Amino acid sequence: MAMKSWQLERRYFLRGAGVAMALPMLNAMRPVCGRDASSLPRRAVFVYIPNGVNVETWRMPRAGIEYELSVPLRPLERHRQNITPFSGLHHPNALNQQHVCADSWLTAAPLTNGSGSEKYRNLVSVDQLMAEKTADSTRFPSLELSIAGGVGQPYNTSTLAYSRDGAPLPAEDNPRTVFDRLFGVNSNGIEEQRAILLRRRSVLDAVMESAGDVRRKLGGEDSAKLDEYLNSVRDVEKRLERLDQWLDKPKPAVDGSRFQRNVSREQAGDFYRTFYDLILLALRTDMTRVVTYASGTEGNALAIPEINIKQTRHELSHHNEVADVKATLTRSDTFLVEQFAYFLDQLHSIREEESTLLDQTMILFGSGMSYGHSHGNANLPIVFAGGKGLGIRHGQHVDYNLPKIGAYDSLAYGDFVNLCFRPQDPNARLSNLLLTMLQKMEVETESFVDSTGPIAEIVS
Amino acid sequence: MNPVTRPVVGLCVFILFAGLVARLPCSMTFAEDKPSEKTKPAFFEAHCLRCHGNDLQEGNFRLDTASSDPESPSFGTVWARAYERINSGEMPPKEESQPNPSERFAAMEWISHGLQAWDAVQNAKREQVSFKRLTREEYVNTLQDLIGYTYHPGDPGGLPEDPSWHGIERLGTILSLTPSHIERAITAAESALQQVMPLSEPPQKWSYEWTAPGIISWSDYQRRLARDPNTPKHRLLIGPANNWKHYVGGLNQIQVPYAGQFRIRIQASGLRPVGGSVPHVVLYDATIDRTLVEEDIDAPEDQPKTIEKLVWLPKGPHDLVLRNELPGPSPYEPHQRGGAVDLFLSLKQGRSPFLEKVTDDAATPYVPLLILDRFTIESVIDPWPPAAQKEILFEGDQSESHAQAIVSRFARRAFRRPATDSEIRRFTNIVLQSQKTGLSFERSVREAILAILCSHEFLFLVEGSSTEHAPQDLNAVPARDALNDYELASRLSYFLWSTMPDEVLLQAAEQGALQQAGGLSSQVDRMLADPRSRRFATDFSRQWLRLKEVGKFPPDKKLYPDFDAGLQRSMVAESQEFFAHVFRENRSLRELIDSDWTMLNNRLASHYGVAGVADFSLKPVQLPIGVHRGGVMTQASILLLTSDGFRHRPVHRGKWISEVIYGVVPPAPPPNAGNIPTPMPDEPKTTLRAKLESHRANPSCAACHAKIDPLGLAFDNYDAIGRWRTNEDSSLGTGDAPAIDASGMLPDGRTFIGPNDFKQCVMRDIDRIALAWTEVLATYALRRGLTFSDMRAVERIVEQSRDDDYRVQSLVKRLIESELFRQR
Repeated sequence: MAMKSWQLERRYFLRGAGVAMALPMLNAMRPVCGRDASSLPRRAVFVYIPNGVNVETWRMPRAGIEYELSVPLRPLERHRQNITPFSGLHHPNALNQQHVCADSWLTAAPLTNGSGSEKYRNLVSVDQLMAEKTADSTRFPSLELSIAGGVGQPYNTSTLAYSRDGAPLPAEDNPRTVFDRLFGVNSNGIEEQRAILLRRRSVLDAVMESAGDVRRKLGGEDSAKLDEYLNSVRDVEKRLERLDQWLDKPKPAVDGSRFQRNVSREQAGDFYRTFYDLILLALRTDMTRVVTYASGTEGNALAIPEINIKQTRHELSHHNEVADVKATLTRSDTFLVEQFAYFLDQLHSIREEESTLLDQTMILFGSGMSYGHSHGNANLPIVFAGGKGLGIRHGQHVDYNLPKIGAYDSLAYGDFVNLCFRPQDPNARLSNLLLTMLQKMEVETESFVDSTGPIAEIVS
Repeated sequence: MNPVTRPVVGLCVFILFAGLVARLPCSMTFAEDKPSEKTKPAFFEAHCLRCHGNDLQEGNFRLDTASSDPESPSFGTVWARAYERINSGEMPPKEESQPNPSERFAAMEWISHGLQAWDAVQNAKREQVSFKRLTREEYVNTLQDLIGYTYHPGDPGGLPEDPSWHGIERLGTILSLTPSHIERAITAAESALQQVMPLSEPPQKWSYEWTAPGIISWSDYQRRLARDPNTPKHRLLIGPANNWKHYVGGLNQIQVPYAGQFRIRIQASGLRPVGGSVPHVVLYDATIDRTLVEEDIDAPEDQPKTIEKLVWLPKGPHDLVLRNELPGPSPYEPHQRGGAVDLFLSLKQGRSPFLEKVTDDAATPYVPLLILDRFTIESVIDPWPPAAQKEILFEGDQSESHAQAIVSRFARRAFRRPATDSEIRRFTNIVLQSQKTGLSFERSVREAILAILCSHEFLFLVEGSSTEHAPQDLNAVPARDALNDYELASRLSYFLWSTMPDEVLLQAAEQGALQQAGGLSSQVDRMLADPRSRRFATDFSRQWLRLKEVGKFPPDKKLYPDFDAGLQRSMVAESQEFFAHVFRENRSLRELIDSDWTMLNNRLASHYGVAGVADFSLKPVQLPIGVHRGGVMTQASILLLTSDGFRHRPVHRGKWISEVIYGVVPPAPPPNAGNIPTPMPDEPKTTLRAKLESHRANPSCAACHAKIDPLGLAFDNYDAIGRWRTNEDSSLGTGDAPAIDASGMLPDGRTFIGPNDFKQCVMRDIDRIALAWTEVLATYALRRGLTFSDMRAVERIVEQSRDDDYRVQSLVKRLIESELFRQR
């Protein structure tokens, strides 16, 4: 890698945190020789919004290229050529499972609602499969962000990411901690750091040997918990090894001295944008290529005082069909889409060789629930964006309901809501979209859990 | 039937673990109630088997061969699928003859009852060796006892919160472990060892001081003081609910130089207005989101008092906020609650416009006033070197044999059993290897200790033994059923203390004393008398009563302006302290149903309308007649966690009582169950109950709701934050707030007229309630679900305890002495 001192080519204004920071252009980190789009990094971001949406105002009467964005989605109008809204998608395994939404959003796992234990055995999430592919190229294989730190509870997860063992990967909810982890400079010298890493690795070697002995004595016996331990230790070892490899490469100089440590959750917009800014920073500096962000969880989502929304999304989603509350839910939906549009703006504004960061990044935005009031989890609100440089095609509204029902107007309201419980097209599976994304991340696979195949409408 | 057009009452709200399960209150015990072929309703024969039987297997699904025994492993997978299809209304198909609602409900009840049992059996599974991870609270307690290191796992970079099962946070099958746990465990252990085994000079004493300087700034004051030693000393006046930070000099970015224990001192006067409450000082650390100090300050202006608190702080910059939190209802004008921070000399001197707003001419405050003089944080440096360092290294040279002795001695405590030879060899080897890389002997020992603290033997409670048989023979070897002495000691100490066994207990295990008559019980008596047993009271009550759910729906600020964080903390503390008091005094379980006392501080007392409680610390208070409290069901914490921030939720209250008090999880509502409409502005106000009843007119809803709703409607006299009321008002609608009718009928036909009467009904179910409670207790102690045969053992414990009126400590002791407790 060309080792030149970082040129502060551009002042980057981190709006969410109200902080100016100097950032190197990503290009500065690349070898001098030019690259074509296909050798540029491939990235994927997953943004979750909780509790579904006001399905009545979210829906769009027309499919195809000629579609019109609905009121809550209208902030995305300027990105029309960079997005594909979907209607009618669902996870077959989540149907009628009440609270199974974020937990299996990226795993498609069959989780029986109601209790834990053996039945709560999740599967690996798509982002982690992608991270396995990109891990060698970046300092961090993936980044897990959330409004609530840790893993949360079964059926009310705080994280979208699950390991190969189906164990939830704890998410970070503190922007400062994330920033420090990404860009913080260790005060110890490189040799000292290397010595620490080495010592940690030898410690892990020893504990792994010890657990390995026990595992061998158990032979073929099932020992899920010990295996979890062994796999975790092995995984941390790999991380340490990676850190060791990256030790000689300087981190991008991002001046975080004025980074606001406690972005107030009372300023919801600032709070969301701070996280979007962090994701942008992480992608831009190529610290990671895979990010999951639970912008809210079913049990923990912000009120939006700045536009006079005092209730959390959970409260709004249980609207009892009261018109006022539903109108407020629509405003909340619109607000979240506005923040998302801001994120797309930022990604779009950054050039990467002949491409843009947006074209090199696929983003899945949406919820694992549709009609939150009584927990409908079919007909999910999903917007897929970006990734045109990876072979993604955008510009139309893909609707799996319309071919079956003709027109939304022809349905009584009750029957329309019922779409959120009974999929019209059983093959309209969210796994197909996840599979398409996997393939565009060059993960070699023909299927993902219950997928039936990639989605032709979005492949160029 | 189309589930949307069906007018169903559901009120289904996000409840974690909304169960599939249904042992409804029906005077049958768990064991007699085991679902079987015999109890299976005729529903399945009549409505399912034609298409899912011997002749036809539509959708590749057949029910005729499905086991009816919940202990069969396949029970869950087959019946869960049937349950879901029947519950959603998808089956039987529309074109087939339809069951009537009560048939349908009976079928669903049978399945969901079976599924609850099946789930518990799955959670009871014992592998050859089981590994049950310590919860994060247990991990923290254990580190504290093992090496004297304190920290808060909830601080940034700490440990992730653990998942729970029916409220219980310590189930082996549920607690998973991820790479992130390992990373954080290493980091935590490294900083712990740096602190307790520093191998270096004592840290510099560090302190931070803020004193009210007088004018403008500290340096300014210093200059003035240098000129005139008689420069008047100013004080900082803090009005209610004000943030005080970086007013002069700053509480922002206080650089704490190292992680550790710090002593915080606040010197202040606190003046209460006539008939008003005492100023309430709250020191909040925004960086780590933790309240460090919370106390009332009642002290005359000229006799300030100093409060002192020991806290653990991580290294780095801290932003603190010191607040005079206004307790209780707020009779004050907005300007008296906000903005009032000022430097002044004395209330009697120099009546500034500001002082005129908050006091009268005789200097009597209108609002609770806090007057701050001094605020300090200083490091607490324990004897040097720390005890743990001496304890770990003890007397000896730097030989390999001493290294071995060190490892063996430490591992015995960390693993809660003697280390094996190969373990000792392995960890000693780390010492030797580290020495070869140039580290000192002591430093190398620290590496080995670090490895021990990251090993599975430390992080997991291990039960059972692996065999040395060849793998192909393993299936023939049954898992060991009895706990060995060390496993028993650990079970006991994590049950009663939420931490590792102490030396006395470990030695008792070593000598085999726990298996001898009297050996176990003398340990139990000793442990119950130890202050650590308080952890059982607070941890168990939090989990049993689901107190973690308090705060999930924050009360609406407009509807409940008096509600604040301090009140919420007091509510949770009441429930925990109430249980702790019952436990400590070995009172009857009956007191948990109803009592003539509760634990109150001044905040809760005014919330409940009890006079004469002056202090912020909770104390047992005899309840006057007519305050409508007593027992856990009418504690504000419970009434709050079963409300949605706007209004009470009778169905959820019923569900909570069914699950927590009776141990019966009602079947989940069908998808898209429907709603209770919110009142329209132009309609007369009605109670939630009236609306629920009109919806319940539909027979398909009535079947289930008839069993849940009455349990919750009994508490309609309590609003969403648990205040007593006789009329139910709503913000919308016309006319008077309708009077509340909290009467009802239980599924077995008994009637009650209101909450107090309801409690007496519940009291008559004490046998069943004792069984349900002991089941939770055993799940907590054994860290696993219970099987049907386990439940027979629980029944015996409950039966033995009936004669002494189900005293809580006695139940705990009987469980410990039972065979169940000695088995894996």
